[in-house]
Amino acid sequence: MVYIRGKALHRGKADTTHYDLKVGFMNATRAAAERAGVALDDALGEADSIAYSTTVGTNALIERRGARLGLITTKGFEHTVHVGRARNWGDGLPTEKKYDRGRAVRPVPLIPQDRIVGVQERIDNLGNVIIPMRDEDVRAQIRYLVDRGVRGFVVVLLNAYVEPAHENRIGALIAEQFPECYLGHMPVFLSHQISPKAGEYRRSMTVIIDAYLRDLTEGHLLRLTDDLRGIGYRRPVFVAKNTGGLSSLSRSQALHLLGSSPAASVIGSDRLGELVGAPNVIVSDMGGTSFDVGLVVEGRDRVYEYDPVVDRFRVQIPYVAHWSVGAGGGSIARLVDGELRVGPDSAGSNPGPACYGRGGEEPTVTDADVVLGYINPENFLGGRIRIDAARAEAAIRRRIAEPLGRSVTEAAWDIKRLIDGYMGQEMYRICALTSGQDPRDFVLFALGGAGPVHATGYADGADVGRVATFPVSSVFGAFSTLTMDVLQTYERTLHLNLYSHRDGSYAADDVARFNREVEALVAIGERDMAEEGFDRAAVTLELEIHMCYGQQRQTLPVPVPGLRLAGGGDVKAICDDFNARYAEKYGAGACYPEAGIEMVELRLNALGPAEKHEFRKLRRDRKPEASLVGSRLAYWGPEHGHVDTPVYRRETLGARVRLAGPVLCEADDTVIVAPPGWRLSIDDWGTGWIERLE
Amino acid sequence: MPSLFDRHVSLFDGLVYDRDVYGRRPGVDPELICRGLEPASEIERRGMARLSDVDADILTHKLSSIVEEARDVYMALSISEGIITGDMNCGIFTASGDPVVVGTGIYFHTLLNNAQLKYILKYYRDDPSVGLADGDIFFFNEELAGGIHNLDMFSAMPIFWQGELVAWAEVGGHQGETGSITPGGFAPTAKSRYEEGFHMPAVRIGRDFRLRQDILDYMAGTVRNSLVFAADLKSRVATLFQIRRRFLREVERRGVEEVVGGMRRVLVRGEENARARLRQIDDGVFRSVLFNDDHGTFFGLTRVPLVAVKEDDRLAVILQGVSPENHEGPFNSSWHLTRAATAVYLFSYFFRGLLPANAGLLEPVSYHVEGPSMMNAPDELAHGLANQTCSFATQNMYMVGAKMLFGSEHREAVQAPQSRNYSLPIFGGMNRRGYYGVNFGGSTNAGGGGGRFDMDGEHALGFYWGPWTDAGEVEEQDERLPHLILARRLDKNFHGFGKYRGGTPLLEVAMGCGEADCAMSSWGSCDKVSFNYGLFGGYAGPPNPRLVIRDSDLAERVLAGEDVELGQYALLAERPLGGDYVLTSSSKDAEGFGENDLVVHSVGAGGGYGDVLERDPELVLADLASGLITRDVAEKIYGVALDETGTRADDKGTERRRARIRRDRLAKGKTFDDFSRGWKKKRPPAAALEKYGNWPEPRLATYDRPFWGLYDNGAKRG
Repeated sequence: MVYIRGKALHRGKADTTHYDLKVGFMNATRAAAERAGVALDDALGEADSIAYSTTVGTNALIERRGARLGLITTKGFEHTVHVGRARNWGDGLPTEKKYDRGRAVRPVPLIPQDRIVGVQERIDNLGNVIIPMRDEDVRAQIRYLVDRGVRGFVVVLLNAYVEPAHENRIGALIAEQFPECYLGHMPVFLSHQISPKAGEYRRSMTVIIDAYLRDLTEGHLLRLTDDLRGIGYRRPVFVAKNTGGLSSLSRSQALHLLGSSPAASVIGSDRLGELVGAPNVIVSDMGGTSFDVGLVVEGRDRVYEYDPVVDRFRVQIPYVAHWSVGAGGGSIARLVDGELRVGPDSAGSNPGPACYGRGGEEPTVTDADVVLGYINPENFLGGRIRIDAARAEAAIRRRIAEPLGRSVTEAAWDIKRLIDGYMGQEMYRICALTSGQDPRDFVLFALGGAGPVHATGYADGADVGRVATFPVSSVFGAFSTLTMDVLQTYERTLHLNLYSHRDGSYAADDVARFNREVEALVAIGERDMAEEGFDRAAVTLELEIHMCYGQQRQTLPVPVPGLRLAGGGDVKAICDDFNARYAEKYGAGACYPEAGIEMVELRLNALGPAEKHEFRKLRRDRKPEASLVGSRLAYWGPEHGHVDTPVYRRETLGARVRLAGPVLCEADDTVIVAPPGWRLSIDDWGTGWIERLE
Repeated sequence: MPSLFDRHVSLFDGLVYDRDVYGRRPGVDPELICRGLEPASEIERRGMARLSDVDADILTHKLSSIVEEARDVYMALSISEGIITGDMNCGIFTASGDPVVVGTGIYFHTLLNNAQLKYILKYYRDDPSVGLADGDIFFFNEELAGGIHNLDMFSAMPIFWQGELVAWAEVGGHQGETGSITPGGFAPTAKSRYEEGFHMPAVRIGRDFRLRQDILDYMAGTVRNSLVFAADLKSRVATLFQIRRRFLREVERRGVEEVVGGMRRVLVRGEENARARLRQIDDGVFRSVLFNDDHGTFFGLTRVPLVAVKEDDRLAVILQGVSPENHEGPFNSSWHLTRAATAVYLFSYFFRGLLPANAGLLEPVSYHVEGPSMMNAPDELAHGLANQTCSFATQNMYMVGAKMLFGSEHREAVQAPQSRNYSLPIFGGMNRRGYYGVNFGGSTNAGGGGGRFDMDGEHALGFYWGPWTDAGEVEEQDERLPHLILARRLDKNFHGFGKYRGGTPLLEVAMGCGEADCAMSSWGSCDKVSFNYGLFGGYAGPPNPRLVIRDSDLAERVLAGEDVELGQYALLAERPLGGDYVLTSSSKDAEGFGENDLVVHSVGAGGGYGDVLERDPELVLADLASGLITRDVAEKIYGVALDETGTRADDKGTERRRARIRRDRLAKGKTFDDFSRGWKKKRPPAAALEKYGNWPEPRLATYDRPFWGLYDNGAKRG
């Protein structure tokens, strides 16, 4: 929890209360208010807004606790959500498991097969009805599902995103049988309304997950809102979304709340990057069990995934890209066929690393950090967890060092190098793969408790030379929700041939249709933003279209500045822009306008600005010596060996301080580790920069 | 006492080869194909010595990341259905041409197409009319030079560092159309390679990092879909550039010796790991035999036996007693393809977990393939369905591999074969967006998995040749292909039964697309005899015939409000539609396919594992409830006694029923000798043996070696 009052920022931490997440929320809010010296009801009474990021949907999805739904789809396609695109058995799995097809097992479905029915109908991709639908067939399928005890209907028919008549008819027939005005009303989720995009498997999963989590998410948020109102809060509660913005409950979908915290961290990094002059950022968050990575490119383009994997299912939403790698402080080190392996399995927090003394026997990355001298056993996480260094040493000796015939220190160093190498390369892959960017042009933001400890190690693997650490590192996700604007995103599939090479023509004839489709989206956007309380003048609308060469499946987003096209000249300008972007990403030789240029999708963002926290500059008159709290032996690899390394206190260092590595800088929630060959400096905003010296 | 190898593994001059049966020809040198890893160079040795285990491990991970990124780029930018759904491969090779890391797609290509690099190095590098320089781009699709078939097209680029060749990048996949006599590349009636479209051994098609437009125009003009050809070639070149750029950055960061040394270490460790795995498995001689029922466009039996001799850290794979080469169709494989095909099984199952898949893993494995035969065929014949032919060896390898692994600590990898019962239509014509296309759909990547020792096989597991392929979505295919899919589903009674059943494929029912009718050809086999054997008593995945219903009355019926079940089981068991039901060989030349015509196709179901009578009755009930089996199968095959509703099992009744089935089995039992005597008297009809060779031994009567590929040194010729 981050509480911003005036220009001050206060942190509030509380344990997660899995039985009811709002209890933990209220506890953290109370803690933050107390740190600000304000009573909880006063803090809530005077608050302008609350922005909330929740894992309630994620937890329910993992535990399969969502709504009891029935699915009505096109007859002959009843197995689509189960078998998907065949390779979907590997979605959401780590790489080595994706290759292990002999042990492939699909995830537990959200709607079991006996609650999926088909109605005879078929519409083609141009909207032509090939097989008509019959009301009596639909009614019979509805009756079957009701007899199965469903409490809601998801309807996904082939090509409904082009021609929704059949889906609408099914919606009307359900409403006829279960009118809204009576008890027992059944919610209906029509795919073309929730996700009007091509791809029946992804569209199905998009709608199903949203419907599956809707009641549960809505219930949680309404109860939380009621509690806050009971204490005196009078303003709207905003929720953070994985699409990169906030919205009120009435304009949010349950699916958009999954993974909203790491998505928020990317947005927060965008904002902080602007503050500290870092337009290209790799966001890394290393905790106990996972390592999350996101990207900010050129201070404006957040990198999006358009068919991300949620849980084990591929969906189609514009998802602020972040990737989770099975690596963290709790990652277990072990020997496999005589070779050292680290992760992806984790000791978690319970039993946790061997040094926690909670029964963990296997050595972990945190144990290696203790052995190497980076973590202070007397002051780990501000003293909240007691560290037993002897246990860390014993675990590494027994399981790794002795079998390999190496010293405990060498084994710990290998553990660190391996995990840093894996994480660095995952970052490299993500940076290069998703955006075609050169990682050397990026700054690394090191978040999470273990991030600053390992940042220089994995920066090296990612080919990055500058690392930034922040005072709000451990609550960065919460802080980031307060950097988001209110955002609504609208998408729909629209196939238009923009350029024909055969006659060198640009599609001036389709401009009117294009403008009509855009105007329809704009009208919805304006309506929604008005509901969010924004004047039209304050709302920014951004349009982009997804384009490709003829028949390609991969598309690139291209912005359309004026929200409409005036004629063939505008179409040509967009095609030229597409060619340039394609060449930039894949090389000029890969461009192939001879195949024609198509657009396949529209996307409109409506943005309403939210008030942001203003950062204060640090004092510059503090001498670093005043923050020196001692020294301890730390190991820096075979080249340097053990070095008596100075230890500083993070919270008291002033601006413009420069410390040559090796140096350790302890904070309540982490340790900043700057090895030999690196330098730690603090800038005016309190950012701790670790930079590789040439 | 001679060792197993000495007793059983020998070349039999003129009959059993450890290489392709054909000799040198333009652009082709079989000697380069069959030799294993090239020796380590001096710089590789120095680099290996400098790398710690941790450094090498991190470098391997980085190289794997580079090719996986390349895979995604290549799939994203291409148009061919095969490539965008994963029938492709991107790799980094040593400077001497051995594959180190590959981004799949499919494993099949991993051990192929490197001989072309070796050919360039041996014959062209020092030839002033060709040469080898930074920025060169090569193309090849010649199966005789080390490829699969000419539908798989590859490009390669040498990677130089400070003037020295340090590695190769290679990218390619199934592009389809080749200008063959049948649209789409697969030509089931082809009798020679000259009817199968264009073949190119390694040819430089670009220099200074640019494609030559004249060559591109020539190549694109040789095929029916020049736009697709050019787009895919450009995407390959873009991907090569990407690999090169990333690779050189690693050289820049880590040093050239470290990188090439790390690459060599991958191969060395691959071999060490493979030998270690082999040592964990009991020695022995393991056998399997497979019968094929198809020759291109007509039925008839052929036979492919496989013997694996495993001893200490070596494995010999012997194919002997194989039916002759096929002069009237494209069912002909090669030695190198047979080797690569079995590696698909080995990489995924036998050597499970020993990533990255690389050529080093196959160093302890030797291959001895009879020739000339359908598994090691002469060069002039058609090889277009070599991919189907070589899979006979793979299916056998599943069987012998399962037997080898069962008693080892790697039992988790034991399973019945993944489906290779192909029936794949290829549609050609104008799609609904006005583009001309010739290709197959994504359901080729959705074959059923085999039953496993501890669980059922997975439905629609993926493409036969690799772990990471995509079946796409029907709405996308509506945009791209000139036919319309009316159903895409798991079907009833369409898997191998067993204690753990096999997986079911995605089965499609499709029709022509209205005003602009399309043409359809097809290929496949196992129309009558299944390739997907059951394991340890499990049933085979059923055969997979090509079913076409001509002039169906589907449209009239649905317009009249009739409810029609579209699935193979429903259509064949009940024949609810009017029309002409045509069951033919899976391979068929192009013919018109109109809007009243239906085709039913899939790539087949996995075999079952273990005795059906040991299947948990609750699992049988679940199969019944989900429509995977009929009541008949539950009762008669699985021996489960059901109540009237078919939703509950009677435990005692089931025990009685199963006991009765077991008694019946015993009553039908024979001694091995009795069985053998009776079996030897049987003979298939003469028409079925037309292409088989001699009966029962396919080879000439003068060929007096035993059926199972076992022969003593004393019997060796010469």
